[in-house]
Amino acid sequence: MTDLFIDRPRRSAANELSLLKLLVCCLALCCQSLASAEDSLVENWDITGFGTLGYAQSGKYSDAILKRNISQRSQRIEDNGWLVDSRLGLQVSKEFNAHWDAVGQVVLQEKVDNSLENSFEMAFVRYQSDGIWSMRLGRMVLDTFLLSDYRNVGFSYQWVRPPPEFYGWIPFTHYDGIKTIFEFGDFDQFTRIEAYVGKGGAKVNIGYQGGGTSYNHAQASPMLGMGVTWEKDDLTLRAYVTQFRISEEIAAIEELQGFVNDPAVQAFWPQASQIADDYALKGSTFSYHSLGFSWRPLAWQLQGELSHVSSDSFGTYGGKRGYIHFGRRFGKFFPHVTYSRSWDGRKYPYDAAPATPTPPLPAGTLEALEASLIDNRLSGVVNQYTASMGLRWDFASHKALKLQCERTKLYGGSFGIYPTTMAAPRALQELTRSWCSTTFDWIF
Amino acid sequence: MMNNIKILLPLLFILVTLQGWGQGNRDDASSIQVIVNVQSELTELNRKQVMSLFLGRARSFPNGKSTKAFDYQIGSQLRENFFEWLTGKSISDIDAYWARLRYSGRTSPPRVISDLDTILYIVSKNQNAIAYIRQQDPAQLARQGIVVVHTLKEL
Repeated sequence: MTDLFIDRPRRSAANELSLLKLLVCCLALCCQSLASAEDSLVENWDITGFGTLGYAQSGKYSDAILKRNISQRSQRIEDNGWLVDSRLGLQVSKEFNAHWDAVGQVVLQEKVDNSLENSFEMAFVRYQSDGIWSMRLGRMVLDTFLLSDYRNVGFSYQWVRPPPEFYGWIPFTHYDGIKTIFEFGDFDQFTRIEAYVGKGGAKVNIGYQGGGTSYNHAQASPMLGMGVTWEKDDLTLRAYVTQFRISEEIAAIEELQGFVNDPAVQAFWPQASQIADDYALKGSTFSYHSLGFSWRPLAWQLQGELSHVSSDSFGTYGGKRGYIHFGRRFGKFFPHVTYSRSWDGRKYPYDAAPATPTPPLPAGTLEALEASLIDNRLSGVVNQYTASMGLRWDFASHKALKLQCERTKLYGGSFGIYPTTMAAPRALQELTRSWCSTTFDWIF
Repeated sequence: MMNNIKILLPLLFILVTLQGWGQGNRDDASSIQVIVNVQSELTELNRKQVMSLFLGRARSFPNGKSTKAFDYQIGSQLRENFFEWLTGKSISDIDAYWARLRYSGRTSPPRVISDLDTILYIVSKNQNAIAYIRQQDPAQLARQGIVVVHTLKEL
């Protein structure tokens, strides 16, 4: 999923309307309850929100650009450091009665697909039984990891942004589907078991090139997951497994396959076809396994997560990720340090391409194809670490100022999150870069 | 000399007594009562139970009856004292905690009520309600059908 793998418009009108259809279904399901609600459908909605105004040194270096996540347009944030972390969220919710409620959330932020439909992070109705069970139907945030479901809410955590090695590469932020939750406890401890199924899509910009041909659109169906959260006093433990299958091929892969399956290429480099198949995304399955903990005794905070990402597609993300975060509150100030690391040691496993026979192929054809395959492989590699120091200042109620500086080491060709302006084939040597960022976070 | 002592001793006694009363009054003022409706059939809640009910971890009382917590407005000194004394954490951390729950869609914070009279009215009329108030006379609360189930003091 790289610059080479260009995308073309493929969203049908039916897809555009999927959220709307889902919402209509949701409202129809609870219409009986709505009819008996004490107040009307349009009254007494809670309207709240959150915002972040930030500035990051995203364009400080000419060879590596600081990004919050791969949904952002590389060239856009390179020239506008205030777009990296700035965002505005609006949430509406309504409790119809003791059993039914609805939540909707729109988040405006810099990303490839800024359509209103894609800006809805949540739009679901929930049924809460009298017992321990509840169910949600509609659009929900993908909460695979500890911070996944509130990573847009800067006020809710200490960082300027969640550790990029752990959170920056995740393509999907929400899904449309159904989720069921069991919650039980005895006041001494609390357990939450949840499972979901649905489908989702994401448009990302991995690499530096901008414009419509460099944005990749991934569709996943089904997306499945289940997790367990256990809380006792100040300790929270969480384990989660998510699996999803890519349901459509991205246009760039189709173009690659068309190229390597050219009879002239096949005649001299038959393995190229196998390599293209290994890069294919359609039908491939991805698995995320994660373990996390958070311990917050009084003024202290210690938090960490580990995850393992695997897939049967070669040309995309894989490997292990982890971070550890430590801080302490001193009145209105919260200084903290974090170390986050991503390991991806996968090597390009194929034999070298044969020399291009001329004629019939133009000189350098196979060498150029191989160079592109190897280079684009790097866009799925996140092999790096970041050490950061930050300070949060809660200077007023529901308002915080944050400052964070981080030093990142990118091991050979780790271009999976932070893109480079280097022309392909990109240099593989290690890079060490430092950035500082600041934000003003608030909720209302 | 003796006359001076005779005058000074009562004065000292009065001062000490007033000081004691003053201290006592401050103690009362710096106590927070957790209150429920008498029909909830609760007589006492411990700190962990109160914490679970006001931090959204529990939706029912220990006796199994469903519950609904009520809170004061953001910036209220009483609210700040209550959560800091209850959890030992800064109100900023509590607000961040509720931001995580609210904006992840998990649950909503307790409903906000702006004044004491409304809190007392709601709790007196609703057997599921739980709220907190500054120290009040328990006997007077009982006459309104309200029971004090936990008392918090400054840490």
